[in-house]
Amino acid sequence: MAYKDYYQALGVPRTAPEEDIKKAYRKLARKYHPDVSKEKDAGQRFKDVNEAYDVLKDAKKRALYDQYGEAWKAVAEGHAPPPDAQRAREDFGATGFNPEEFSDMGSVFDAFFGGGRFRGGQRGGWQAQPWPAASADQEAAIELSVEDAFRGGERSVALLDPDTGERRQYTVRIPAGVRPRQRIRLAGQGAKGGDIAGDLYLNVQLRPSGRFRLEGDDVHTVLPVAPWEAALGGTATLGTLDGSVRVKVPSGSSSGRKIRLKGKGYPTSAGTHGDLYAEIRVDVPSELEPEERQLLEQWAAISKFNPRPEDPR
Amino acid sequence: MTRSTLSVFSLREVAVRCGVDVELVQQLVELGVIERAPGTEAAFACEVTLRVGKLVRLQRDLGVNLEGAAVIIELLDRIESLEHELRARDAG
Repeated sequence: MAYKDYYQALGVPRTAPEEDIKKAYRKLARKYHPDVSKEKDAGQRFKDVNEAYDVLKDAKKRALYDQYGEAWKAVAEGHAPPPDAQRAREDFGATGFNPEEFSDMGSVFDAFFGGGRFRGGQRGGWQAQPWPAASADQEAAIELSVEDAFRGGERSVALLDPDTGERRQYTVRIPAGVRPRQRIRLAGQGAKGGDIAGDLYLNVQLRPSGRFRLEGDDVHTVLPVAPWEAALGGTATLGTLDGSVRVKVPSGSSSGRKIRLKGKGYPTSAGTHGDLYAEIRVDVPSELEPEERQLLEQWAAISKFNPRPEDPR
Repeated sequence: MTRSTLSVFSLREVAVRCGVDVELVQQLVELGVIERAPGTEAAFACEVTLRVGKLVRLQRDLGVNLEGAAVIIELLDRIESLEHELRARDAG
C-alpha cells in the first residue's frame, strides 16, 4: 500500500494549526463530496480527506501520526511499530516517544482514545472508516447510444462492486426505449446495509452518436443528398432507429430543410411514438470530373439564383 | 410510465432502507424533496431512496440543514438535466 501522507491529503503543512486543518478539510469535503463532485476520483479523494482529517483533527492521534507515520495505528493498537516505522520517524524527525518503554501498548492506547471506540467497524480494526452511504441503495451511470437505448436488450457492464470496491461484470437487461435519466433497477445488487441488500440503479445517459440525436420524443438525424437530388427532388433511403425507410426529397431542398416522418421517433411513455426529423444536408463531390465542372459552369452562367441578396451578381 | 423496473415502497420501507426516521421521510414529502408515486396514497417509487440517501449524506457530511440539503439536491437535479441536454446537443 502506498504511504498516505495525511498532511498532503489536506494540502496543509505539517506545522498547520488546528484551525487551518479544519478549514482545509471543510473545503475539500465540499469539493470531493461524492454526491456533489464531478471529479473522476471523488469517492476515493473524499475517503482520503476524511481519513486524514479523522487523524489530524485529534491532537493525540496527530501526535502519534507525526511520530510513527503510517505505523501509528499499529502502535496505538499495542503492536510494536514495524521496522519501517523507523523510517517514518526519521522522516518526521520525531523524538521522544519510545514504544518499547511500554509493556502494554493497548492500555496506553485505551487511555489515549477512551477504549475500543474506534474498533470493530464494518471492516474491522483500524481501517479507514468506509464512507457510510446512508442507504444501501446505490446509483451508477450507464451510457448508451440512442440506437442501443431504443433497441434495449441484455448488456454486460463493468461497475465497481459497492461492497468490495472491485470491478465486477453485471448483466443488465435494458428495457427497449429506455430514456435518458430513467433508472434501471438491479434489485439486490447494491450495497449490503445490515439485513437489507440494497438495490443498484443505473442512471441512463445517452452517448452522443453521430447519427441520431434525441430531443424529447423526437429523433433527429441528417439526410445527405447530392446537389441534383436537392434541386430536382427524388427519393432517398434514410436510416431510422427502426430500420431503413424510403423518403421523398422535395425538389428545391436546401441544406437545413427538415423532413418530418410522423411516428418514426422515440417511443413515448404513453405508448405512442415521437417523430423523426431528417435534416437535409447537400454534399458536393470534393473533386469534379471535367464534364461535371463544365456542366456546373454552364449552370452558373445561366442561373438567376442568388443565395445572398447582398452579393451582386 | 411503463417501465419494467417500476415498484414502490411504503413510507416505512423508505425510512428503513435509508436508516432514517419515518418523520424525516414525511418532512421530505412536505418539503417536496420526494413525491408519492402517481396514483398512490402512501407509496413511493423505489428509487426515492437514492434521493433520501443523498440528502442524509449531504446533511451529515457537509453540515447543512435540511432545507439547505434540499436546495443542493434540486440544484444537482437541474445540473443533471442540463448536462443531459448538452450531451444531446453535442451529438447533433
